Amino acid sequence: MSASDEDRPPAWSRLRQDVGAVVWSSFLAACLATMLFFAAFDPLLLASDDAPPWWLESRMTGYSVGFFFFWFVCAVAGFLTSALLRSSATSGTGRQGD
Amino acid sequence: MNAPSGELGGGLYAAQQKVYPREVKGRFRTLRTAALFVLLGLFYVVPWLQWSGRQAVLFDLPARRFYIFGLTFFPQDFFFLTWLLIIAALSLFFFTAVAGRLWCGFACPQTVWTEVFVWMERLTEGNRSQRMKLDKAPWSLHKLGRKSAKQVLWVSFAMFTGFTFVGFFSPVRELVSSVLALSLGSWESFWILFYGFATYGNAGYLREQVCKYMCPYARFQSAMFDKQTLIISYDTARGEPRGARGRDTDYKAKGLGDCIDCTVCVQVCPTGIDIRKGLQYECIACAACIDACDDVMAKVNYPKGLIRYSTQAALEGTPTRILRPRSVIYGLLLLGLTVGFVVAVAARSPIGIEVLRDRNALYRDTGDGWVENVYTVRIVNKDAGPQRLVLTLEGPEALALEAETTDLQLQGGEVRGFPVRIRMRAGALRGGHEIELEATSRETGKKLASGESRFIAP
Repeated sequence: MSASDEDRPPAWSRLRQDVGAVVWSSFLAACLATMLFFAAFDPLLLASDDAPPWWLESRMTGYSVGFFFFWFVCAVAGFLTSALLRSSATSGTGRQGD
Repeated sequence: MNAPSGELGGGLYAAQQKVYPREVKGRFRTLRTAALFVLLGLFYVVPWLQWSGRQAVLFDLPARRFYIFGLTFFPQDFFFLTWLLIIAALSLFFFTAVAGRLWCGFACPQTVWTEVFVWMERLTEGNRSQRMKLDKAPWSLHKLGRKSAKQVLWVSFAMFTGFTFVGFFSPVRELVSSVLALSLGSWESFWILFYGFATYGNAGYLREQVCKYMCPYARFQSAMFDKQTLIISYDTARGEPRGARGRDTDYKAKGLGDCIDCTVCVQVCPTGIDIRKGLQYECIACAACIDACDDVMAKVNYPKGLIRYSTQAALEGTPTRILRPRSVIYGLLLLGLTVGFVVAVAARSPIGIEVLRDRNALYRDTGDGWVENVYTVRIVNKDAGPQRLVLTLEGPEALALEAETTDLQLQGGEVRGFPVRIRMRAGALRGGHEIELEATSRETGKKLASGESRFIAP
C-alpha cells in the first residue's frame, strides 16, 4: 500500500530536534522577557546614561536589540541544558555511562 | 551527529520525504476554512481600521502606549496585559480539556498559515499526485515555471504578512507611503523581512514539523486530557480487521470490518500519521481524516463515522460527561477572570498620577519665613478625549499647595509633568510627613486619581 510507514518523513536527527526545540522555546521565552522587561524599563532611560551605547539611538533599537539579546541568552541556556541532558554523566571508572 | 537518513544536499527538508497532504472536502474542512477566514481576516484587516482619526488598534511601541479602539494603555497598565495572558492560558486549558486540540486544528497561526501556503502550492503545482510527480520529475521548463509561480506567491504573501505585522506597531498607512517612497526605517524593514521570512519558513517548509518537534503545547496538552475529552478516533471495533474487498462481496461473511484500507485518511493527514493506530501526539486534530473517511464510507454505502470525534469513555462504552470537575473548575475560573477583566477595564481610572520629589534638595528655605518642597506631578490622560483637572493636597493642616496653575488641561492620551511646590511656615512641622495629591475632574467634581509622596521639613 502506498501510504505506509516508509512514506512518512523520517524522524529528525537528535541535533536537529535539539536545535528546533531550543530555538523555538527560547524564542517564546525571549518574547516574554522582552515584554516584561520593557514594560518596566524604557530604553530611553538607558540612552540617558552619560555614555549610552552607540547603537541605542531610539526606542525601536532598544526593543529590538533587547529582544535578540534575550533570545540569545535563553538559547545559550537551552543549548547547555540539552547538551547536559543528552550527554550522560561520566561514571567513576572514567567510562561513558549509558 | 547523524544527519536524517536520505537527506539530499543538506537542505532543510528532502523533497521526496515531505508530507503531501491530499485535499479534502467535508464539514470540518468547511469549518476550518471559516476559522481561517475569520482569523486571517482579522489579522490583515484590523490594522486598517480607523477610530476617531487614528489607527484603531496600534501597539505604539516607540511612544510606549497601546491604542485599542477607544482605550489607551500605558506601561502602568501592564497588569491588564498579564491578566489577559492568564485568561488566554486558561482558555487553552479549558478548551483542551473539553474538546481536545481545537487550538491546533483550527486556530494556531502555524496551522492557519500552513493551510494558506498549501493552498498556494495546490494552485501552482496541482493536487497531491501531481505534486508528487512534479517533485520526482527532472527539472524542465514546465517544472521551473510551476515552482517559480509558487515561490512568487509564497514570497509575496509572506512579505505582505510581515508588512501587516509591523503595521500593528507602526501606523500602517504611513508605512505604505514609506514603502512606496522607499524610505522605510531600518528597523521596520528588518522586522518586515524577519516576520515575512519566519512565515515563509514555518508555513512553507517546516509545517507539521513545528508541531512535532518544536511546539511545547503539543507535548503538554495530554496533561489536560481525560477520558471525557473529545479526540479524533478510529473505531477499531467497527473497522477491524481492515482489508480491500470487491464491491458486492459480503465482507462480513469474509470476516472483514468496515475499514476498506483505502488509506485516504493517511493521505489527507497534514502530519502524515495513520489515525488507525490510535491517538498520537502528532495529531493536531484538524479532522481532515474524518471528512475523508466519511466521504469514502458514503461511496461504499457504509454508515459514516468510522473515524469521528469521540471520547475515550464513549469508545469504552461508558457515557461521556461534559460536566465534570475538571471542565467545571476551568470554566468557572475562566468566566470569573474574564468578567473581572471586563469590569476592571471599564472601571479603570482615566487618569494616572505620579508625584516625583525633586531629587536635588530635601527642602528649601525661601528666606522669608517659608520652607518648601518641590515636586513634579506627572499626569497621564488615558482617555481619548481631553480632561480638565483640579489638583488638591491631602496632608497635615500646616501644608499648602502652590502650583503655577491649578487648572490642569490634558489632551486625549497626553502625558505631562506639572511643577508643584508645597510650603509651610518655617518651624510648623518637623521631619517627614505623608502627603497625597488628588486629581479631581473639573467638570464632574469626581476624584479620579491620587499619588503619594512625602513632605520633608527641617
